[in-house]
Amino acid sequence: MERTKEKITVIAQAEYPVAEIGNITKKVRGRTLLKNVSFTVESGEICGLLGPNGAGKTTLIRALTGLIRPDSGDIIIGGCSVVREREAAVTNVGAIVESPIFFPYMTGRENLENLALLHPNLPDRAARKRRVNEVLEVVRMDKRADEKIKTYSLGMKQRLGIAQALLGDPELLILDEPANGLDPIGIRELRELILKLKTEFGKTILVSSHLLDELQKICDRIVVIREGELVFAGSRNEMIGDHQSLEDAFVEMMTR
Amino acid sequence: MSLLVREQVDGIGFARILEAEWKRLWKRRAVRWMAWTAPVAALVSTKYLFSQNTTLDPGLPEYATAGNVPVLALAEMLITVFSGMMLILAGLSVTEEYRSGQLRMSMLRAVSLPKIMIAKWISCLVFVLIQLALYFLCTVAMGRLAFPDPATYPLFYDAGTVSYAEGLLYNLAYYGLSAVALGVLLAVFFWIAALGRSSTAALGLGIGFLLLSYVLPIMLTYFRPLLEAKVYLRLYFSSLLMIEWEGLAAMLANLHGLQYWNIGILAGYGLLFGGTTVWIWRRRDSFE
Repeated sequence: MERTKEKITVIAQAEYPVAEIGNITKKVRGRTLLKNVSFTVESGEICGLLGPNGAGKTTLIRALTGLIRPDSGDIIIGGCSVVREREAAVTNVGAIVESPIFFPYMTGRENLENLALLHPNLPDRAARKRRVNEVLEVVRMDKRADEKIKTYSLGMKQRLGIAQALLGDPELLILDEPANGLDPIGIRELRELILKLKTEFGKTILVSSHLLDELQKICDRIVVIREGELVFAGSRNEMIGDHQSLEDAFVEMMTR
Repeated sequence: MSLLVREQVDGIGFARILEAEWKRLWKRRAVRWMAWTAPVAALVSTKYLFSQNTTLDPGLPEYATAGNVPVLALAEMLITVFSGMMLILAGLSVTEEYRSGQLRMSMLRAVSLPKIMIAKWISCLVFVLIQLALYFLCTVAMGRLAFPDPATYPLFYDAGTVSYAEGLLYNLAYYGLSAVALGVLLAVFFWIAALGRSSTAALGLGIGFLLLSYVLPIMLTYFRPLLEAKVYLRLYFSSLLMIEWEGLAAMLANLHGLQYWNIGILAGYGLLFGGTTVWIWRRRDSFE
């Protein structure tokens, strides 16, 4: 039985927050992983999420995708609360959380076709097939799509991970450490792909990474968290300030 | 500033979640191998029943005839092959997907975890029910081809004698009750799979549950002289495994009112384990 839900749709292209993170706090087994974190991700921008290991980046991303519930505060994506209307909110989000994991006994295309069944905006088989072909083409995986996942390199898995995130044509893409383990060519290809998603497809992207040079090249805005608390949210240039690079600025911020 | 408008968007129908789960289940090599279980198990059971017949009086209900082969064969295989198959399916479908992070791929979409779990339960059950139906057809065919076909034969627990046609209805009722018992056992395995930290741990806990369900009623037999027959039987058939093994025939004979008792026990297990499994998935952060 098909269910109907309300979704907020943007009808103007003016700058507006795609995601609004409001005062979220999350404790697990007595340890505070996120403490009153608030920031926004604006439409059409690439926002870098920075922080040392254990800062709470992945916890924040899990909360943004509705995989965990914050203890307090709210996250609004595309006008829907992830906390109260998770299913409606996540239709606006595509994500890779931690490493891209697939069903290893299926081919790349079968993985996408299976996941496409779970998207409300792909109502029939023809639409799903078409969308799977489109996203495979976007990430340049169409030639290897019919091979088993176990034959893929890490770079190909990352690109397929982005393809699965794009299936529902979401407004917001969340990429958690997408360059982890990639070689320099893979990193460059990934960078080009992320920029293409922004410029050609108008996606808003929140990306976490430890590769600060890469973030400096692609991000419009930077959000920094440390020990679960927000320590900076602003433009890339504001963050760099008088420093030589984003890396210098980040290291100084962390050692201050 | 944002300029937003509310519009109606169709949600995901449960049928599509079920389709995704079924396709994933069927894609697994282990599951495809398991599809051969019914005919192979039917052959093994038939061979066993042949050897048993050489030592049994033809007047006994245990003596295999064309009519009772499906029931005798299932009684042999229900708690071993079919229960084992479900334990493996629950481990693969729930624990492995959850612990490896594969389930996250589904969870990132607009579907809730309890709905995914219900779809998984239905997919696994449908697979086992197809196997059960195949097993029935194979054993009916083997019974007709290879076993004697007397005018009538006795049922278990003095439930009377039946002709082949009457026996067929009895067999269908027995298989129907087996399907219900398997569905309930699958709910228990899903509960175990939800708690298991790995597929191996879930498998171990599942085997532990089966062993406990076997050992406790056996221990109860030592106290039989102390208990009334009715009380003893009710305690004995509080075990899901014993209902599968001997309780289904006792239900069909309505021995000591066991029909209602066993249905109540099955419903109790189903509600307790099914309910708490859904409750666990509802409460739990998806990936702590």
